[in-house]
Amino acid sequence: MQSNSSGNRRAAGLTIGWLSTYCVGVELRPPSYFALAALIDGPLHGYAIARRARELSGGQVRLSTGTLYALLERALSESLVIAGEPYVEGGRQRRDYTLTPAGRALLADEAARLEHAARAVSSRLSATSKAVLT
Amino acid sequence: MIRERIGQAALRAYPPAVRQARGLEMLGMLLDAGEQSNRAFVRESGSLVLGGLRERRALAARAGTRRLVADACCQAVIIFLMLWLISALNTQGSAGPSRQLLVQEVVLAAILGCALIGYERIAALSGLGALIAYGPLGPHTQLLLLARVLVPIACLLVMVCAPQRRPRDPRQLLWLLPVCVLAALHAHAQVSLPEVLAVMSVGGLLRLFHDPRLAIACSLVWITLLSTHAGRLASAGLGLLDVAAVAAGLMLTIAAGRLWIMRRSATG
Repeated sequence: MQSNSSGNRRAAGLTIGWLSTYCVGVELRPPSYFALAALIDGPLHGYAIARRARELSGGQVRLSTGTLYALLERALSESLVIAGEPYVEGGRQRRDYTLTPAGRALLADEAARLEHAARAVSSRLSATSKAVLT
Repeated sequence: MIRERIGQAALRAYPPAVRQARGLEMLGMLLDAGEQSNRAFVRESGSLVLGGLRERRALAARAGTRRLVADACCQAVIIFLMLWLISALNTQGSAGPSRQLLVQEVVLAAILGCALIGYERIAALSGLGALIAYGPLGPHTQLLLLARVLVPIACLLVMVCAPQRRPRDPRQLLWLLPVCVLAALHAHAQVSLPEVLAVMSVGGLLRLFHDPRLAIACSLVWITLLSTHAGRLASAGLGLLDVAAVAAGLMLTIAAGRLWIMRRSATG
């Protein structure tokens, strides 16, 4: 699984260079993770990304304007998302952002890593709680 | 409307290139996010200012240490020229009208104007010429006087070799207005040159979070000002010299530390 996802990343044309700026080691920080995850279902503009990220994280991640655009700027430079043409909606200028295959692969990797970590801890917790009960 | 203006003001924290590319979009999001309450709007505006300062810091860090130090020297030259001009205007005021002083002021103002607009190489070469014509590099050079202008000369040479990379902008000439105001205040003995420099230093310290250049420039000018006034202040028994020396040293240390942190974060 790990080697397969690494292969996906290489296939997506990513280098290891971006890891130092967008991620901590090989982890995505929660704001970056949920900002990218907000785009899984389709392109969204800035404010919609912030709202969706808040929904997905159960209110844990609140992306402010400054933080979100810093994340988007880095994601754009690392080809994790692409920006559409600007348009006006409700008198405000907007631009939709779309997740690229590289961004999707990175998210898949991170989701698998988090899932593995959660499973490992949960199994240990349930094993030790049974022992404590008996 | 007021919120839009506040938002536009907050956006000015960002470098012009980012403002041009995403400014309207960010303003739209700020207004959307701030619709819930005034508190949310204030929080979002604050985050925008911080984001802009971080962006500027990243931009400065990408420029590299050598470039930042060279820029600081160029900014120091502009401060030297401002103080020199204020001092010359004051001399004119106290000693009465003199053709030679008037020529000197016009030359200094022209050099400062060139430097402000962005013709830095021309300004630096002219500055060196002015030092030879009016300053201690003339025919009767004294070593002590020469030592006092070593920092300005070094900064002028840096400006000749590595001028700041910025677009030429005649609007920068507006900086001559505060110089004139300060010169008038200085002429009426309401402010001294160290006080003028202290105000600039406060500005440098406020910018230190995202850009150490002005702080370094002010430190360089402090060092020169101290060496110029050292004998006078020491004989007068003033503690100002000690305070200023500590301020200059502290400022240079903090600015150098900030530079080192920025370099580490850029390369790390």
